[in-house]
Amino acid sequence: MARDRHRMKKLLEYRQLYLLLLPGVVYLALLNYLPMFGAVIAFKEIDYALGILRSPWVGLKNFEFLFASNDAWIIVRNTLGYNAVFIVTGPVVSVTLAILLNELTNRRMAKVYQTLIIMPHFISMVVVSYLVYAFLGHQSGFVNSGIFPALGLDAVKWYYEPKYWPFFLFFIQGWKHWGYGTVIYLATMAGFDQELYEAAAIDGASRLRQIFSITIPLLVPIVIMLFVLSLGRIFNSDFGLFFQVPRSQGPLHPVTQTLDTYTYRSLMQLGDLGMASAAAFFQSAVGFFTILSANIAVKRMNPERALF
Amino acid sequence: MRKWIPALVVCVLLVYGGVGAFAGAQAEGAAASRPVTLSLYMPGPGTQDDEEQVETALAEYTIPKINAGMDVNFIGWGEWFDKKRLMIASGEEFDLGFTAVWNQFEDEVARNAWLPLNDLITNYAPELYTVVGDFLKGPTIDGKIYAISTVKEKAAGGQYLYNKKYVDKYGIPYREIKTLDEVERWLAKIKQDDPDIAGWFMDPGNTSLTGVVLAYYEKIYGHFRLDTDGKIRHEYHMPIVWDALERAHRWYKAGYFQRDLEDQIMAKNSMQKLKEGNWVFYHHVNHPGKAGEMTGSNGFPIVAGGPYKQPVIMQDMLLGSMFGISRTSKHPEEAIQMLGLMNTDQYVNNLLNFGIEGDHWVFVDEQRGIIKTIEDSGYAPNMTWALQNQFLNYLRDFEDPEKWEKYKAFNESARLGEAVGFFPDVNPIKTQIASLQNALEEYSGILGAGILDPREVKEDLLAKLEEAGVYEVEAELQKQFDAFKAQQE
Repeated sequence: MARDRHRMKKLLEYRQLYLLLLPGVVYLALLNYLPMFGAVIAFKEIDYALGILRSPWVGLKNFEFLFASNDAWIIVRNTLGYNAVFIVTGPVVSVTLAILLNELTNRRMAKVYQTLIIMPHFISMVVVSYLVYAFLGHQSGFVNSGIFPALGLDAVKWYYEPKYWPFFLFFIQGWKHWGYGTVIYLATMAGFDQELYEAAAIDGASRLRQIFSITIPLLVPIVIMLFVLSLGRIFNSDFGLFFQVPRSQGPLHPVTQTLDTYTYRSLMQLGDLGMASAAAFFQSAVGFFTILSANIAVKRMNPERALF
Repeated sequence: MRKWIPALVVCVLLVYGGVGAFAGAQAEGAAASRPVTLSLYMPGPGTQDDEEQVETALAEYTIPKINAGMDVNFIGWGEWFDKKRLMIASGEEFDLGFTAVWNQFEDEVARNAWLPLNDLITNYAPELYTVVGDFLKGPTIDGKIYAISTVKEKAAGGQYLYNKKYVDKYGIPYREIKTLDEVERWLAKIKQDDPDIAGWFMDPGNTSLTGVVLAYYEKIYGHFRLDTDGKIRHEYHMPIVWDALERAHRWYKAGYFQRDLEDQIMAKNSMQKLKEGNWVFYHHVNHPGKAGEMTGSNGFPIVAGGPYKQPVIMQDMLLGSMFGISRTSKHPEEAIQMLGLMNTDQYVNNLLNFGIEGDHWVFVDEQRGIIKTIEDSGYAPNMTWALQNQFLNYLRDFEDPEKWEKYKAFNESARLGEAVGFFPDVNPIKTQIASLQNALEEYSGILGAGILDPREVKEDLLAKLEEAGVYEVEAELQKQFDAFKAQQE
């Protein structure tokens, strides 16, 4: 009883804050939680006349096409492989850049660099695909018609040679996203207690030592948190990066086909809602289990660092 | 007290925004009492400036007749496919919707998006049976009519189209060329004298050589065609297709195509390149007046060689452009009557197609129905092929004044395709079709354009098709087709 009264008192005391929270909660409830019921579409054969609720169940039939392809291995390898590389190198590069930016004495220039680094994040992948095309177009691209002739090299059919694309995609992905991570880590670093650095300086620590002993350990919690969160999208991929940027050219499929592009290509003609939902459901389910497992692992190692 | 103000302000602003959006949607849905306003959705060049004027004029004319006006919505091509899919999937209320075999018609019927119209036509618009006639065979599935087709050219096939400038320069006997071998001889000659232009305008979507050789073969589903021996085959299982691919590669190496073909494929700007006019040969559909239409859209004279085989009435032609009545329509009786007007009333048909006389067009020859459209007039949807019964259309001054007579003759000269009325049920082979679709994506574009050497990829491609289940699909389609044929006899 006393606890309830205590709760009510707290609720009233913070009522303005709860009110501020209300729109966000309603938004999440309506747009993130309520639609979860739609997951049943993955297990049904949708008939528009019957609607979602009364359409017939078909069990796991909609999932078959995901595993039927002889390309299934390539798809999994590409999706997981690229994600593994991105998830591991992302924080490494972003943290390094954040630390470097933090060390700059000219704060105005630091702000300028920071803005420039994060700008690509806001450019649509479709626009990026045309920027890339401007460089790599076979006849009209800058590389083939400008750079290579100047160097005396023959033109290369970039869009028909799969071997270069893992590097291209890695670089383009990084160019677009490293800035975002950098800004997050910079913001985190701004909240660090400066007294720690002063104490270290008094004890005779060099700047480099301070970075390794203070900055990086303090960044570890947020790096882990972002790392575990990104594991939740382990089976997803940036459609713009893997479909638009390679201009959907066939010869590049072995290195650019991911689960998302495979789903899109397979279902363009059929337009089957159930199969498309099955693909998305599969991605989400695997992502969910991955996050759970990762969180359990982190909890074992260091309980306070776990996400939940 | 201080904490209240910002919290409240943010809360109220967000709620206001959300409610505003809802209220807007509700207001639109508010029903008109009497008379009824139907809603029509179709693809096109987007909303026209004078759309409301035309709708008012239409309502003035049709309300006395059927107690209904119509709100016409032209949705831009870029958004049309997704928008329609969404409207149907979400159960949005609307009356008339455009559909076609290339616009998910079969899928929509399978998912019950359109009302069966048999009773509606009999009771409210029986003239549709006479006017639309044979065309109704197309959208009839299991005896139920699911949409009304546009009466236009019935038959299909292909024809060669020529840039008149070069026809005159080289004296090409364009009415007599019938085979790709003859075309090849001319391409060699043109290459010698005009090495910088494209002898053959390669556009993998429209003028791939596979498309040319398959122009007179009926399509059963996707890339599966009815071969001359009555068997259903995947395109890549037909020898003529591989011959065409080898020819395409030969032409590519000889330089008969555009120099920047690869860039064009990647930038998807074939239509703009076509307008530049640096080409001689093209290939497209063979209905009369096609040359006139292309001349109109490209801005320089184009002539046509005409059909080089007997045109075939194909399923796709009867399904190329239709209007269905949505299952969610609250006024199906008025909707079918409006379709009746669009198919029988010359005033209504041309009002929707061209706009208001005087404001958007003027008569050049009223007797023969020839008009001249006013430039930049505010209403020029240019969708005559989609707005029902083209034989009612007025002709524009740059078109052949005998276009409709020629169309009638063209339709009559054709033979009825064997697969007309056949709608395969693809549910048993859904998975294989999805796999096949994916396997083909890798090659079809650049292979069709002649950039790849077919001999290098043939084995690989056929193996991929087999793994994806192409033989199962062929067998299933054959089984259903044979049953369909047996039923017809």
